[in-house]
Amino acid sequence: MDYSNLWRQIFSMKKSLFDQGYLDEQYNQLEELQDDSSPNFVEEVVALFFKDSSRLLTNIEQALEKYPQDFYRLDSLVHQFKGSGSSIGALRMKNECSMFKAHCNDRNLEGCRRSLQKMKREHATLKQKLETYFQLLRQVGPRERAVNSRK
Amino acid sequence: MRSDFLSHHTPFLSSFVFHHISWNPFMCLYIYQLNHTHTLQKASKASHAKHAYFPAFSLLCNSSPLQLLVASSSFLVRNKEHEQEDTPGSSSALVFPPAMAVATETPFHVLAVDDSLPDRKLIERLLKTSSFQVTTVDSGSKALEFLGIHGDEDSSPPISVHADQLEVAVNLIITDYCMPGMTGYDLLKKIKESTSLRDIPVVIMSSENIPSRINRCLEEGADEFFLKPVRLSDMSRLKPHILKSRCKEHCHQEQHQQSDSDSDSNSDSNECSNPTNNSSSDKSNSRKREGEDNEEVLPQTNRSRHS
Repeated sequence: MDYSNLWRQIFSMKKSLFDQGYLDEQYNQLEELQDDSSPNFVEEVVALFFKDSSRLLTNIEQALEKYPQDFYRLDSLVHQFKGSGSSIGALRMKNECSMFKAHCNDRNLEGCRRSLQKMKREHATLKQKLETYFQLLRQVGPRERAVNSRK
Repeated sequence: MRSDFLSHHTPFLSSFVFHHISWNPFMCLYIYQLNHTHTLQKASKASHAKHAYFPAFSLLCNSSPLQLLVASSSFLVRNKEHEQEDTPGSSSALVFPPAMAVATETPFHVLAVDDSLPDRKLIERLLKTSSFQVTTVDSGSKALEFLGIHGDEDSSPPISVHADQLEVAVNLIITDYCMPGMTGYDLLKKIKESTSLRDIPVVIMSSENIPSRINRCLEEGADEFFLKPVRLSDMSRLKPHILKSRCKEHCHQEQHQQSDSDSDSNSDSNECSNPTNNSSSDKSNSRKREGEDNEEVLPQTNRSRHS
């Protein structure tokens, strides 16, 4: 089976994810950790991130709508979100979290709300893009991936 | 020669071979080299073949000049041969002439503490890739439970929370700083307050680069501070701390043994050795040795104790 077309798509997609700032160098670190003994590591850790961060987004939203707002708690929630986002190389997410934190510091409720909407959009976009990317990778199979993924 | 004891504890040397050599240091060196080749062939991954620094240190603590000369030359030979096979996480203990040289393959055990699930998965993978054995927990209190501390008291002997296991040795603790409830700093303090755990090296991880935080942790006794996200290259910074603490512990152990067994002097007795199960009467150090290198042997020490 000729994988070259598929690989072209994969490389092109990965490149665009990096060029558009969705992912940073940390994502490459994850790929470095994937091998025969842990062939789906990247997908697994990304899945854990999305599961964890969806929960955090819900908590943040609830905390924002509760009156009076507990900015200390909000900051703590976003801090967690930012941390795990940075662990998987989610650059845009990480940056948006920083914006949220800044608004939190200023006790700027409106700023927080706007930032949350952006975070949710970034979250959904990244999730969708990575799902597409992993689907492509799955088509080439683990052996091929192990050989080619670090190109 | 205590060949029965040796054949039980040294898988790579038969007692037959051993009977037929004298305590000639160069003969021992030769046998050691044979052993090591065998070990390497057996190892499925390079990760299992690794020299350790602490025997050299322990040897320095208590050796005659000749022993030092032979030991250092064999150590250097091995060092040079196996530079490429350097993986941070595994230990192989060398026992130098005139005692037998045995290479063992026991991974160091790291306890990783982080409340974030993706981060736990990442640190686990980083550690396993670096040939460490890993246990992850999601909180400081669970870490203390695992280490055998309940609340503020040390339970003695320290027993892991898993009843079906015996004492579990932990060689290093790596913990996130920001955690709900007990922070990494709180955990560090508790560990340093515990007589049984205070010698275990502790590494703090944090996503925030705050100098005052870093200093506070280091002052409290943390051995290292990692900025998150942690990378594979950070893993190589862990082993030196483990080895340093083992050497320190071992030298204390040696001094303890020296004063104990002065009357048991043997003409070729060399007290400087790798830890054996016999020396775990010192409870404060037992955590680290239990469950580890059971194949390590120092016939000299055992002889002087049992004769």
